[in-house]
Amino acid sequence: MDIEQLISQYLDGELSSEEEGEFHHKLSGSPEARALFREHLALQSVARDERVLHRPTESMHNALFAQLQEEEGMSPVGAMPILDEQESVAMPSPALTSLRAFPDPSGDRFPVASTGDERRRRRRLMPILVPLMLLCIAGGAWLYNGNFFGGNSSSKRFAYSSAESTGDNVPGLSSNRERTSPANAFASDDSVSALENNAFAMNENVESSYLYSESINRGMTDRGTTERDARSSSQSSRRRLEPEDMTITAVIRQDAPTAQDVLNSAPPSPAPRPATFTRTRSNTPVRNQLIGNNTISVLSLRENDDNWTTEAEVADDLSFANTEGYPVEWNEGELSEMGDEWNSDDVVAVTTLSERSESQSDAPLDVIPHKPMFFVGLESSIISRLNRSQASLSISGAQSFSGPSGNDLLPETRLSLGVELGSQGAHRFFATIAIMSYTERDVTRTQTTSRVVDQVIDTTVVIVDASGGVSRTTESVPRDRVSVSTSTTVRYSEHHVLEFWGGVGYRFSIKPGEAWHTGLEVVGGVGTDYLHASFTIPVSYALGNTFRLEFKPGLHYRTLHSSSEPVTTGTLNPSATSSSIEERVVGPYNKQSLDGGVGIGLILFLD
Amino acid sequence: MSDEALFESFLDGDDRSYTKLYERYDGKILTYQRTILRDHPEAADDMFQEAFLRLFRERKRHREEGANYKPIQSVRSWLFRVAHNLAISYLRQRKKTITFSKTGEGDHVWDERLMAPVEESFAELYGESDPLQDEELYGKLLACVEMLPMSLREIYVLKEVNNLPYEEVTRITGVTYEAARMRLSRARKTLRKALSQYLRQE
Repeated sequence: MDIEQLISQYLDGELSSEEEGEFHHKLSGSPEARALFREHLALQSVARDERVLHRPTESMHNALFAQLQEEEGMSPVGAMPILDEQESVAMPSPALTSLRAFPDPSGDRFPVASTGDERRRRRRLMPILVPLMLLCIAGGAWLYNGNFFGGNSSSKRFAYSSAESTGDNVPGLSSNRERTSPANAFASDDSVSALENNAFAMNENVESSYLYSESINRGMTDRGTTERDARSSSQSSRRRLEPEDMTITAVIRQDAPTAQDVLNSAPPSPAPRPATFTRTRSNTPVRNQLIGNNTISVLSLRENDDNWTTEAEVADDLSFANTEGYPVEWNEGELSEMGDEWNSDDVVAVTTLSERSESQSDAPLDVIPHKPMFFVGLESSIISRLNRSQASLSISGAQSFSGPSGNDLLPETRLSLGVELGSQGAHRFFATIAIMSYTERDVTRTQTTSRVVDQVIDTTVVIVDASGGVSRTTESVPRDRVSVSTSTTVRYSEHHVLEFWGGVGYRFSIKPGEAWHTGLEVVGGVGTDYLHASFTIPVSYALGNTFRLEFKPGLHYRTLHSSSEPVTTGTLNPSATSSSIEERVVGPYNKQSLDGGVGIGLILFLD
Repeated sequence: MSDEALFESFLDGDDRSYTKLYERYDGKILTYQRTILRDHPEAADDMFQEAFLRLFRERKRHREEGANYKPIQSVRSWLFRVAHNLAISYLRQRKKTITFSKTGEGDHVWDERLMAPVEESFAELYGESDPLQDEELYGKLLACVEMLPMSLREIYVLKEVNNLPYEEVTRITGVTYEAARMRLSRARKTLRKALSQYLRQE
């Protein structure tokens, strides 16, 4: 027995009186032994000092006692703060799909010969008709929302948020999160005055490239969430909303049915993930590994639960334990020797972990379907023939409204300038340019999935043994269990769009000299977000030589040209005891749509 | 008041007795957990909490089982045993453990060279010219303990740091008395070598 073993036993009081005498004798005869002894004494002194201990942090302490109080019924002991859990409350929302109005860029002209009486009659009517037509156009826009250009002014911009938490999906975990059901959507009698009484919570310090959005605080039952618009900042036409400008218009009052539709289309919550798993072990060794003079049989092991799939190789620890050999240390990917001697009490289990992956994925967001839209337009045109030529100039204004069936209407306003070539009663070609202003609505939906990897101690284990038999038992082994909560936020926003249009057309008289005319118009436009194209077959009827009434049935196609919505995802760190990820998908948008409608125009001819 | 008296009082409904037990052993259990779960500090903290949760749940068991309840003989042993089981279970589940201290027939063979990396690692981490500061030495000792092999550091923390008798150490870890004694001796020797310069100045 060497001196340090003796010192160790002496420190433990394990020496007999004879051994102790021998020990003292060795110390007295050897300065080195005395030095070693002093070092061991000092070491023991340090080891037994309280300062060598780790101390739980205050947060650990609080967490334990909070859990004891909440779950085990412990009475309050000292100052133990109880953590509040954020409550997810659903909020009703107005909803609709993005809307766009159909543009009607064309002006038209039917030059007719006029008599002196007719000219005199027109001159008498002009002071009345022209202001009346302009008033009609401007009035339509003003009546809608008080903005001449039809688009929403800054005081009309708004965005709503609606959140529905689908709650937890794993029983027994995170029980302090409660499943919430969506509250009622806006009732049909949610009038402007009623909503104006609500407070608005504004998010702070939003970068200028983001659209401000507001949430409506509806007291105890409805609470909105505040979110940034996550769309690309390249859409610079969006302006930030100012808190003091917030008003609610009657636009929202009819949105409830669509809001429910949208929420109903939210993806199903992920399935529960119980902490039950299956373990399958190979019948025969997949390989043998030589460690020293011993051969270890390595079996394959596969464990599946709803969270993880683990592929591993494991040594048959029983056979190895009964074999004199070398201790080995776990080493990822291979077995390795720890030393060249081994102690029989070192029962060794060797695991070579080859793969661990999470297999369950969340369902993607469903795309909110595009609803068929219609549009109606009121249009007024003034057409004047250029002196002594067959060319005419036209100035037109139009006020249109569009929207899906059963929903509110969005206005658009167009002012256009055109030129037309051709004689009356024959073939005529025209070209027009226009500036358009309208209100666009966006609907974005954000799904946030939070995962907490927790551990459950007693888990049910399904074991598939070597002979293929299945048994079920319970092990007191901590295992990962994942609780998942998903919340879906639907947000609606409006923004103002300014577009430039250009178009060409062709018209002709069905029968020369008769009142009915028809033709073809193709118009294209470029906006901040969309490319547009419309196809119209106008049919007009002459009301004398001064007025014509025109019907313009047509189709309107549009497609998104701006950047697509950003998608950010997080990953779950498999080595973490608990972690969370946030998967965020913004969208969807109506990237393409084809709508139909009709414009009704009144055309006034000037000589 | 002894641990067992406090535990009896706790079983009778006195939560403050539980708190006193907690304050008596929080540092010791946490140190032990972190020693075993050296590479999983977060798990060690979770297991620490779980151990004390289980202690509290004994009262529920006591009430449910009534006369059939088997009382805890030694709170200290019970806590360390639970901590040991939790940590080993965690390591098994993580597939990163290789050694289970079960049989323990005695450490009759040992290779000193195995400990050389511990001493070198410690010197590399903390250098050889650091002046001895008392406060620092406690941290250095723990750091050095964490470099020991699992089988040694477990015994060292139980026996030396927590001053448990061998009887409890063997009950907690499942190793034989002889194996525990040999491992403690090896751990002491290794640590003494690693910290020699500081201990000499001490």
